[in-house]
Amino acid sequence: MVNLIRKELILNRLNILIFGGMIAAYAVYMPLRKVSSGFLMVSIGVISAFLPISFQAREDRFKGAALNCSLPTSRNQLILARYVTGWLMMTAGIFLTIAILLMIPGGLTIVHSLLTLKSLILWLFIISLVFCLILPFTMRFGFIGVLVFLVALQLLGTLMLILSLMFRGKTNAIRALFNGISGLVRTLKAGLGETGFLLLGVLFILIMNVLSFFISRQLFARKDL
Amino acid sequence: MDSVLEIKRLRKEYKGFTLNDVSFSLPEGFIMGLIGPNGAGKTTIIKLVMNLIRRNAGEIKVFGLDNIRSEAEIKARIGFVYDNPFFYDDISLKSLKSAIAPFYPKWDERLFQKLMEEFDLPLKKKFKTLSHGMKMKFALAIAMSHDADLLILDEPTAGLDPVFRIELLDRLAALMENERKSVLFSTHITTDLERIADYITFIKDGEIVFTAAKDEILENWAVVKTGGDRFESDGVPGLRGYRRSEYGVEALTSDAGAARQALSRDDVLERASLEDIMFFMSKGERHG
Repeated sequence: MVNLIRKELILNRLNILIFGGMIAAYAVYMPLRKVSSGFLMVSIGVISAFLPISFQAREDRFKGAALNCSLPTSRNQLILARYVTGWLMMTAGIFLTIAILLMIPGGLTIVHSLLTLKSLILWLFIISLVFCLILPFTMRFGFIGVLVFLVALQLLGTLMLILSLMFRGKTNAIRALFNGISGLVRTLKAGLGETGFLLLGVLFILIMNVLSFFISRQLFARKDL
Repeated sequence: MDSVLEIKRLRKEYKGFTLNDVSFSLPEGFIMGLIGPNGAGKTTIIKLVMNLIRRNAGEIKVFGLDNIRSEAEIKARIGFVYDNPFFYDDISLKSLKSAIAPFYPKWDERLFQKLMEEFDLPLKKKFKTLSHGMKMKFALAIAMSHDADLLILDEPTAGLDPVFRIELLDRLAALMENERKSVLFSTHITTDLERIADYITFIKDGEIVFTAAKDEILENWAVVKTGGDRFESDGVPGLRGYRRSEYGVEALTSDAGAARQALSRDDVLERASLEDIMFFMSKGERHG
């Protein structure tokens, strides 16, 4: 596993530096614009989650899967290493953000609001949502597939918006979906209490990761290179 | 004699192509050449051995172990060169080596450095800046630096200059003599195999045409040259294919001894090269 992680880090060194730079710049710039700590957390989380996805994209671009699969390791180990490295990188992204915030004026206040159990779980939840959804998708359809997926989502969103404007908000499915989700969250929170709700969040993060890992493993096992 | 590679009734289906019922084995300490026209299935067989693609049926044993169940253990003992090496383009050779070497317990850094020097490969250069020949050399250097018991080389000499090709073949031959390693070598350049191969497996349209010792093939297969008016396809024992030209008929036989006795004094019997065999079996008017 150590060899696989080392290989990922060496082969994707430039991406790590670029994403590290982006996170650092973002962590410096956004507090100056007085954005909320929640917004900062979400955006840094999304950027961090895209770093391991970029590893997959590079593998796709250079047909690196053939190289990886010719090494003395199994396909399952390769996928496990991709998830472990991904989480290492995303955790490093969080630490980098906190370290930078501690160095800039006014950053300490943001760090205080970020370093609560609730915030950290929310952060991990956002990262997991992006990472766990897109990684298996990239594995199956390649990076171009992800771009097509993201563009399709955008188009779907635009279509929904147009439809809602045409029908004066009566059939706004997006709003209905978000209302439904927030209603569910409120109900769960009220039913389980703060601690129970956070534990449920952690459980949900774990399930997302395990499910995503097994789907990726299945997809990669069936892949002809 | 122990086999390092044993393939039984292997099958792989693609749209428009099927690798069908392929069986052969490579004894330890020998070089086997895998020949056949483009699209015959050579690379498919190699990919199946390396578990880069999934098989539909059959069995592959490497060092007596199933190639999927014991994948990591087997691959630690294989040196593999793909026909088009897939290394990350924007990474230096030094970094690529650093990423790959730790996977091999028997990695020999001194040998690697020596090969890099001999092959004239600059460690600091990025992979994308290399010519195809240099890329192949780098892949060969990696494959040969970890004391592999089996080298699997898919078209390794394609794109190499003749001087380096001969050097490489000599190096492989030396490897066999000194260390009893085994090699599975797919190529279009049949003269390479005539220099070094011990066994030849000929594949066409996804099926094995023959797999035999090279000396046996070169002894038993021959090209008959005869006048067009005297030629009858039934009259040449072991006929595998022929071609007519304005000068007469050339025919390939796999039974040189019987053909020699059946032919008239005006006919000529010549030793068949692997190239002749590949040509007649692929393009000849009739093949058995």
